Amino acid sequence: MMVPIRCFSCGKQLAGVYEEFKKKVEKGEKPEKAMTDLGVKRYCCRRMIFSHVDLIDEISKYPR
Amino acid sequence: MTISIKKLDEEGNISRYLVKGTSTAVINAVRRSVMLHTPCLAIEDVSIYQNDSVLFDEMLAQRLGMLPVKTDKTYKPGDKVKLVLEKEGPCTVYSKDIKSTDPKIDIIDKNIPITKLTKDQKIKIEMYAIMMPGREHAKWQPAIVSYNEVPQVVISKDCNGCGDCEKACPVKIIEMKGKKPVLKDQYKCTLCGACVDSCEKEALKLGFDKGEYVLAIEAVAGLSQKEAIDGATKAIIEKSEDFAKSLQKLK
Repeated sequence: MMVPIRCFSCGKQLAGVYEEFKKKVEKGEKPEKAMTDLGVKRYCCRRMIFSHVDLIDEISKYPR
Repeated sequence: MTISIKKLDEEGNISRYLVKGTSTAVINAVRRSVMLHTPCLAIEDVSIYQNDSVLFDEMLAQRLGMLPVKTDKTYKPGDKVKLVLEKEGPCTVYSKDIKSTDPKIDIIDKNIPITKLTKDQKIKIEMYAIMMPGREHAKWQPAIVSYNEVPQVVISKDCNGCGDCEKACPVKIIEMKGKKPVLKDQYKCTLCGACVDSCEKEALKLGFDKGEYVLAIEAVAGLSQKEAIDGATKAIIEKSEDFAKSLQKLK
């Protein structure tokens, strides 16, 4: 739903980097370069970022 | 044998050190001690007074628990700090919106999105950060510590100097010196083994310098790298002293 705060495997905090990553990719930067620049280097952390689907905006349309 | 430590490089909050004259047992004891016995602050008790966001209370509490909280030296294991989060939509709730009652304590990374609120939605949360060691939960793990042995290429006489290993290396640290592969920067080796696989003659192997390790430390919670290692070594000393004391009681 929202980007996980930590990497499931190693415990690095990643959520703070996610919005910046999204901005960079929207500007046309290559995702792998954007991740490396943001200090996400291990592949356990990389899969957290690029496999994430942000669904909260969709779900917010149907409040409880 | 005396242990010597040299700093190799620093990138962001990751530092790498070259440790000489030690054994896997010692260096792994330090690593495990950082993970399990070095206390730091993390949010543990969460009281949710109001939560209109689409995230369930449990998910919200879990997200809050993962946040990195700055730890002050004056805090001892078991100490608590109260933090408050109050926000009204429409907005994204970030970790910077959390207010601490102690000015020394704060959330380190300010831009962590916690939840999103639409119009008229409100959240009101009170929480306590508690100082605990990582043995209880990984959120109290102050640093990610890893180590690896230092490799060197060992070449048998079958080597024909084809240079396949040089091309295969993903971090580009193999260099052909007079038809023989040599490691340019052995501390950058990721131990992937691509060079070994690429050699058709099976002439190349990775050997290891015994007693030499690359130790990487990345601070992920409220403690600095130095504080994390200090706490770890202190915990090891305490534990071994306890052990020695109880041994003496046997006599």
